[in-house]
Amino acid sequence: MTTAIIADDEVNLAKHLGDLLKRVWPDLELLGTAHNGVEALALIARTTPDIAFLDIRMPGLTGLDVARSVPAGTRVVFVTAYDQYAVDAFAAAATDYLLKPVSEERLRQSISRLNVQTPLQADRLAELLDRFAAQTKPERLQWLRVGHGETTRLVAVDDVLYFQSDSKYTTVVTADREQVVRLSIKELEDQLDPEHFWRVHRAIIVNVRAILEAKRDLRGRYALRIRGRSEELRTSEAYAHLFRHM
Amino acid sequence: MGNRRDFLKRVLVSYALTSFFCLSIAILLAPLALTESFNTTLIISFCIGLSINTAGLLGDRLCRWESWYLAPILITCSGLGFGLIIAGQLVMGDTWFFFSSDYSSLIAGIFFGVVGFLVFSTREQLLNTRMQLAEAEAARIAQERRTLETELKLLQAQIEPHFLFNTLGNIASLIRDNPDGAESTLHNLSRLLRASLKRTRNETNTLAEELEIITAYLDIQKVRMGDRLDIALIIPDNLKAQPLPPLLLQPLVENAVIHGLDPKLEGGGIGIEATVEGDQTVIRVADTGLGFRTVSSGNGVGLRNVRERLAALYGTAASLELLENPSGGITAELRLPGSQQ
Repeated sequence: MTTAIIADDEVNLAKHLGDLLKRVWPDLELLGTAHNGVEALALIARTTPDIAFLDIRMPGLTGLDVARSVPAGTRVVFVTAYDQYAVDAFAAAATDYLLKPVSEERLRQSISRLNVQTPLQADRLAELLDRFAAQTKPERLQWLRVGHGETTRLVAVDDVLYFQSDSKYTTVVTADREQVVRLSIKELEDQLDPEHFWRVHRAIIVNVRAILEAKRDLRGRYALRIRGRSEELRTSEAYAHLFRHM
Repeated sequence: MGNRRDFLKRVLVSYALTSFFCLSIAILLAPLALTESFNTTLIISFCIGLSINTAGLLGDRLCRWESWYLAPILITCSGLGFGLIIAGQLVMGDTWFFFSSDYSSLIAGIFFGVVGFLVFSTREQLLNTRMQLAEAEAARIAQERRTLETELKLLQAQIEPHFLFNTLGNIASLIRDNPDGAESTLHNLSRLLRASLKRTRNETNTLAEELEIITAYLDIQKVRMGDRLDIALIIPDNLKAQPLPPLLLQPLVENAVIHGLDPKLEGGGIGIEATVEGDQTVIRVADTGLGFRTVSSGNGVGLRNVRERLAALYGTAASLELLENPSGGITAELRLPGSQQ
């Protein structure tokens, strides 16, 4: 008898898929249901089912994460409400997937495919998942914690016009205020997206999207005009090459 | 940035205009017969004019002198002096001729230098004004485009496909076992969709109207998340008629659920509270979700939309702050001017 597990963080949807499966595929034995990625992983490890129905968006670990550590004998069927990008990739790689709301007809089609003893496509799936993993960009700093009396305020780095540091602190300049963070300019430079934040001086990192104009002087340095600010920022010669092709 | 080409064009135009100006002066002075021939007048005139123009261009290029009011006078004088030296050398073979023997050219030079300076500085100002106008126009167009883009993003953000299909999935799952639940979820969804359609045309709602939509949204999320979601609303009756532009509060609530609570294994609670503080209405959306660490996935755009709308509607009189709760999670604090008491 074929065995299966279902993983979906939404209780109703997990139950619904279970009910549908009972109707459409009475011979299938459901070994259990998981409601997040971590539970799913444990359930699969414990029961080693033939088929794992995995919702893509789950707390803890996503369905894609879970699929990466599924044993070779378990066939994965992804379930998703709307992840167009993933769905396109699944279709292209002939990976099994179901779209929510799951209809009985679509489920029947899928099952008839599962019943055909096609060689398991573990390699192909692994390759696809690797591709997904490669596409997730490296973690970039998105928010800055700024101490403010008792509370901690969050500032989106996209709202920052520029950072200017002195020996100890770094001033974060946004359109409406200047605040101080305990991060050095070097630490910031390492964590910010280098496409949008340029180090233009030993003590200055500027948000490229906030630059209105770059004026060159005789020594090859640039004076930057910043959106919404009256002061000009001076680049040092070492960083002038950034603007030469603007 | 095309700066070099612009500059080259400016140089050529300025020399052409100067030449024309010098020719006019020579023709004007010819009847006075100050010199032995028209050619001599022409040479002196050109020497002075081109020299002053060159001094002006060099001054413009070498130093940022716009801010120094004496600079134009200095440039005109040095250009005039240098021009007269060359003219003296060319016409008389005596470098200091125009400073020692014949002052007529010096006087004429000063006179026309002043006239030329006035004419050219007026032209420069006109050009600058025109450039500023063009810049302002470009800024206006860019602003308009940003507004349109924001509107578009808002429209797309209103009905997130993942949310929509998951909700439909839930309705499908409830139909057999819990028809009442299916029906109420369907009603909540249609309230939400209707509101989204209506609001693209509507400028202002009341707090009560916005809360009705938000309640529909949260009720659907409650069906989806079950025990993983707790909801609390603290809204005094006297604030319910407070005007509230659409799509300021809802994105904050959605952020709290989508980025704070839903990805958290055990879920958590969301609280919405409205108060009056001084002459401001303050609405806080607090959650006990994952908080700062995972706020990275895409909600920056939604918050920036809210900020941009606030700035467009109220200028600096309104604000949105994100605060980290001591016990985890985030509080979004929306401050709007005015309160209806």
